[in-house]
Amino acid sequence: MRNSFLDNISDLLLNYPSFTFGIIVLIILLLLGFGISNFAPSSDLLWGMGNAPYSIPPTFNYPFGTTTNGQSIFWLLTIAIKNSMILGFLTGAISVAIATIMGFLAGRFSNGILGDLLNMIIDSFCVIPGLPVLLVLAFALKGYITVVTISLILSIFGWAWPSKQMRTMVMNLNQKQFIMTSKFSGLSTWEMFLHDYLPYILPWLLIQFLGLVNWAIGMEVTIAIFGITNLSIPTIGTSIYWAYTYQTLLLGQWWWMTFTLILTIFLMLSIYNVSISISSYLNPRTRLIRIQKSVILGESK
Amino acid sequence: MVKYLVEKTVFLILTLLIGLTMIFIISRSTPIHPIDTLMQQLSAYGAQLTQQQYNSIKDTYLKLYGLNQPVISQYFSFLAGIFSGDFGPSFSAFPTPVMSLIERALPWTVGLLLTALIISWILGNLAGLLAGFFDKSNISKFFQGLFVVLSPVPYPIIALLLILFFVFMIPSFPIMGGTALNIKVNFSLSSVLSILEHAFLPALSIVISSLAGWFLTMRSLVMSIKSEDFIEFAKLRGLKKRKIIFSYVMRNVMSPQITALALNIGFIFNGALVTEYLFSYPGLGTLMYRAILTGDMNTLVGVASLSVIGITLATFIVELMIPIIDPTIRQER
Repeated sequence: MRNSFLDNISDLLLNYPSFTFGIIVLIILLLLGFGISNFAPSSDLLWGMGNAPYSIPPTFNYPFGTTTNGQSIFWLLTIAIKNSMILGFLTGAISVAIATIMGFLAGRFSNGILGDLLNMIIDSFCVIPGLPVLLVLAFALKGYITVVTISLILSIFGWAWPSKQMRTMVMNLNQKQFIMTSKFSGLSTWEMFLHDYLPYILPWLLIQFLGLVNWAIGMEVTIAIFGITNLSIPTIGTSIYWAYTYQTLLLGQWWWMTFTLILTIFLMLSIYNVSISISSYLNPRTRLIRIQKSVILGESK
Repeated sequence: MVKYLVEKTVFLILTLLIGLTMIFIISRSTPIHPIDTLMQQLSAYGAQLTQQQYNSIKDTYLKLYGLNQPVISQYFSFLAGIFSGDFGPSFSAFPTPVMSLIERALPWTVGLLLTALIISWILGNLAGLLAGFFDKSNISKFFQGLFVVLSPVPYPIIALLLILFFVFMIPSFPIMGGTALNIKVNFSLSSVLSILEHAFLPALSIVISSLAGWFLTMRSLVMSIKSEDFIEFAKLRGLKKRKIIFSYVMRNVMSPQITALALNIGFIFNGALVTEYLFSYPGLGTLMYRAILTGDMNTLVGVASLSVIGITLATFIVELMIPIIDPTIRQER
């Protein structure tokens, strides 16, 4: 009997260099954010005044240099990664939950008025430009904004795209024999969702979740650049906001912006690489090629 | 065809209603009362007011912004105002109407967005088409790798990278405004050149960010259609490669890409807003930033409503183009 989870992981590691890259970078960043950030000195926990020298380039003591207000950028960025990741994971979880419910209902009842209406609502949320509305919302809630409220705000728009794909998947599954059998055996919609649909949807939900994490981190950056989040909490967005507001580039203090950008790109690339490798791994076509390969290899031994 | 039109029109109206209602509810449920903020600003300027004067000024403001009426009638006058192009006066630039602030900013945004959108869509799809057809070539693989790296990076990060490289490391482009300071906006050569020079980097950053998505979807669409029998048959007939690519493959993958364009305008618009602010480009993004800075709720609501209307209409227009490309929709009568 194969241990499917570990086998899948080792299969992924062997066949997908992009997965290996992504997972290694992600583990390093997770260690930075959730392990090493706990050792940050108390003066570097929030954006504000620090007791390090002002605006010095990277040295041994301050690996990423210091801010205009004398804080170590390295420590602040470790906390920023932690907060941005929490925010991304929360948004991803909430949005995927909404997307699953909406997409499933829209797909399951796609022949009736409920399905049509839900489909239109989903499409509407896809079309409406989220940022202006989010800016008004974040502005209206100014002063009440924490990492959690930002996740809730972002989820208002995050769920729409995954729901759309979810609906298509559910509609494809609707045609399958075993779904019909369940329906005529008198299973309730909820039971069918749990036993028939969910096993097929689950891996795909993971991919959507990772995509949403990336989207949320990017949106947080965007909203923060407009200056409407809690600006004292370190996140990737607020780091860019302060680096931009203090005109660090104009003053030639490249390190603040550069290290923030590099870390952000690595974070997003790692999550993206993990998600596309998993999705390619689960694609039946590539799976077939992989099985053929292993059969040929096995025969030649 | 008629059914398609009716469906899309119902969808247009529903989308507008959802978007505008959402904006209205948000703007009316804020714990920060806009008039209180205004009154605070008034006293901050050193105005010495008696309680009576204070109340009468406050009443005047409330009447002016229609905030003394019940919420339902506020909602209807909000909708009526939007469709007659009247968003009320701006809070911070009082008494300038929000609409005239928007009129000043809108051409810049529309110009930038439209150029970037068209360039990235055409370039991305063309490159994706060729890369998908010649998927064994090294150039195709190189671009595939490049765009996989670029596609998860959000708009502001690309914009900041461009600023870092082309404004500070190798100073070659300006970063402030839509034109040089001493230049008037008209159709003279120097003015147009200055506008192009200032629009280049913001447009480039939007193009780079959205190019990757078009390229990757187009490439996988082409690769899945390439192994179909009718393509194989066209090859066996000895048709020229160019004919196969543009008449056989492209015709079949266009329709999903146009649908994708309709659904993506909103996303790209989001990107354009933040890009504009980062490049101090005088469009809607910068207008929104200023409104946030000065606590100008009316302008924010105006820009947001207009964005929702504009993007929804643009989507509607693009969706009307689908029957031209896709005969299966045309024939459903």
